[in-house]
Amino acid sequence: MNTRFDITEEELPIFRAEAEDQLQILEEGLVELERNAADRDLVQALFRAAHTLKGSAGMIGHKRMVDLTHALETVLDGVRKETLPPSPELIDVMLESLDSLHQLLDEVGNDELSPVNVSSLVAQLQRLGGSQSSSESVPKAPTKPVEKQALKQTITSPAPQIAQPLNITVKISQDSIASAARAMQVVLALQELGEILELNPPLSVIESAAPVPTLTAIFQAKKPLYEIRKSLSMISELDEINIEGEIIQDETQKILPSPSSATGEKEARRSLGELLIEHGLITREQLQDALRIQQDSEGPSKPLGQILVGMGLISQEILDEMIAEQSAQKKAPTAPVADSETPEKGRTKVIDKTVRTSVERLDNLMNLIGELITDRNRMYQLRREMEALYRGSPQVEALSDTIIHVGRITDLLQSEVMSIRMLPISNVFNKFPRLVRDLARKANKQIDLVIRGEDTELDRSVIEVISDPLIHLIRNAVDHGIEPPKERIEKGKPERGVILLTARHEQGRIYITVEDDGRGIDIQRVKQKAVEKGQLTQAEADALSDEEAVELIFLSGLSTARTVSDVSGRGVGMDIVRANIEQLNGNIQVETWQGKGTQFTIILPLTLAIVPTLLVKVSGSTYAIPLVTVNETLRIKSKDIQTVNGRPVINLREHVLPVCNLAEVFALQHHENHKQKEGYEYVVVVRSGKTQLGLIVDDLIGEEEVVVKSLSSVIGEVVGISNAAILGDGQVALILDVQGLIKLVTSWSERSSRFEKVAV
Amino acid sequence: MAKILVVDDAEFLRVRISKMLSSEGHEIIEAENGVKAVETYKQARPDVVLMDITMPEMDGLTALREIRSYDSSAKVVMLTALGQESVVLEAIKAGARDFVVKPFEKERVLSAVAKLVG
Ligand SMILES: [Mg+2]
Repeated sequence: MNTRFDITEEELPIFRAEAEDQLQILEEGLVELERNAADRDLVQALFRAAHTLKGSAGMIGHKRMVDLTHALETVLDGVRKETLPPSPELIDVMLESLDSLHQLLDEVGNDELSPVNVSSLVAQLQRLGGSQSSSESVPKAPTKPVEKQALKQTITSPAPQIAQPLNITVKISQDSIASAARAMQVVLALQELGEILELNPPLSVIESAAPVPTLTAIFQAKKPLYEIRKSLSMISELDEINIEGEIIQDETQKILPSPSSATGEKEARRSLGELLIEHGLITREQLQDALRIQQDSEGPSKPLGQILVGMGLISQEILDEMIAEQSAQKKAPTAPVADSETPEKGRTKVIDKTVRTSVERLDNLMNLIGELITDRNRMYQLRREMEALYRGSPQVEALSDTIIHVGRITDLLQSEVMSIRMLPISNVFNKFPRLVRDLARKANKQIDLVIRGEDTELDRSVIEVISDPLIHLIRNAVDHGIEPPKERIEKGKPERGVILLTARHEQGRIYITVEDDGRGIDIQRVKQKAVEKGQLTQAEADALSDEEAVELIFLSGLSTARTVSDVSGRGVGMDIVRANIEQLNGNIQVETWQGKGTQFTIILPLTLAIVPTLLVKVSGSTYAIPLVTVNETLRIKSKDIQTVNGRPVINLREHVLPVCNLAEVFALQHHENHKQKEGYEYVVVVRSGKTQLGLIVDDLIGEEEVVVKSLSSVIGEVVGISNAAILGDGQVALILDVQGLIKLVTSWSERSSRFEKVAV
Repeated sequence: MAKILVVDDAEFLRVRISKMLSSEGHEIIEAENGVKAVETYKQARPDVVLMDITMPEMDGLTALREIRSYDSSAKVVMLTALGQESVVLEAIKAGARDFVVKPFEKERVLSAVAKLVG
């Protein structure tokens, strides 16, 4: 599927998820680093993240990603070693690099070239990082003195062996990144097999990790030559092993080992022997004898076949035949003999017991659960009807029990699926430290973001949509809430402002708060602005309590900032934020304390797919009112509805509450029902923020969890209606958009519409 | 066929290496840091360990030393990267049998393993 990168479709999600994790660690960590440069663990974790990212990018051949992560790693190494202070400028460039890395990461999978200027970023990192050269090094573990001494002894002490010392020369591949380590492998291997009398370069040079292209040793062997050759040939990246003039070539250079090379010979020996036994030409004992003769012989050992011929066990003709058969069977020398088992069977994962699944599947699952809930509601309804019709029938009782059981299972299934879909809100919150850092830096303010409850879980559908409103609230807090440091000091406040972001579960809902310790909302100014914009009259403004007045910020076009700053920008206002939240069947409230700060609270359902509602009847149709908006329900006498300024109101506990008849709002035919004949009305008191409204309905049906079906695709936007739901009796119910209704009925901005504004 | 413990904090690397090795019929077990590597080594007694160096909790060099002090015949191959020359040298001194440099080809990993289990 992919042309540019070496990655398979099944590896892609793992690669992406992991790279995103590393980028997240880097982003959060860099913001933290700016405040706390002395945190060693933090710097170490940052270095590791850059290093890991580089490693994975390298494995898929993403050169640009490797280059940028390498530069990042090098800078972080400097910070780690405390040779490079993490200045705000450096953090800026590093954060910018992260943005580019996100783009480079996007290339993997879509194969489009992103317009990232890697070399410019690398140059900036190098410039700010000074001349940080080597990126990785660890404090040298002290060499064990015993080891060193032992080695010295072997070098200096004369060999008491009878045999001549060997001259060993080893050429290490130029491609080796750590030739000193290869040289050390040679030294250690030789020490196992005898004594090193002389070493060039000396051990101290090798230990300094300086490159070692060639290593020579004068070596007193205690083991047969073939063992020395075998042992050295096991070391990778040795281009040439020369022992007393004999040259053994490195098999990793894709040259088949010559029959005289140790590994090749060993393999040939083994399989030739086995082949002869298989053919019944020699016995296992005879083979062992031959091998012993071969091992004990001095100098270059004779091939096994020749020994067997020499022993008179097989003829030369048979040997040639067997060697031909053997070479036909022989596999590539580096491939171990594979079992005939299926390859994947070998892979047992002990650590990770999780299963990956796609979001699409989860959504499908949730849709199916939705269908099931609709059916459950329908079955409950039928059960009630059946029980009324056939009271006492054992079959109906049994069916009824079964229905209750199926209902309970459905509930469990729903909560299980919901929990699979749950993600911690940290998925959203973890973007904000960077956001606050960047915004504060631009606004020349000093702000700490404190996050609480980031483990609070919510449905992924909510996670996806909650980000934008929160960004807006945070931008507002930075831009309008928190004062500049000088102003804060004058007010006797700490120089650094604080934005507190919290999340928690409460009564099956999510509460998210954004709070700042800034100047608070200037209520007089908000009123003044609203009057200037013609959104209410001076008299109306004067009549508003502070609590009511602060709600004015949710009206369109109201911003209390004296200047439009670069940071919070224009465009999106608090009215859009509220509309977005209420679109999710949620609620947003604001509280402000003059000179002390402002708190926004967002209340959301656990999922967007299923909404707890209150079902009501209006003109024979059923409507669903989201429970999150319902304050209370009332039964009032019809004559208690009064008219003030041409608007119907009721008196609720000494407060005037505007009411509206839903049948009138939706221009439905007004059915006279029995309650009205009796002189009573049902009123559902709903709220949006702090604004309340009484909805007059014909009847209350009860609470029901309904499965939301989007309406907009079918009939477009309808004022006062957000979505549709299918009910237990199969009917379609419309879900009320309470904010829209309140706006329609009471909003100051809608004064000229069908209702006269009431002076409350 | 051998039992191989693949240690790397990057899941992608573990998956990639495991795939390379299991296609040759090896049995793979995985660990995501040095601490888990040492634990898993003691439980599963693998024939070969492929050990990343830079990892959280416990780095590969420390894990190598712990494994070698538990089992002096442990066969450990280090998975290293450019710039880690001195660590690799330390690892070899501590008894690592080989090292493979990232990014590596399948053949390179297979040959390192084959040398140790062949
Ligand atoms: Mg690592």
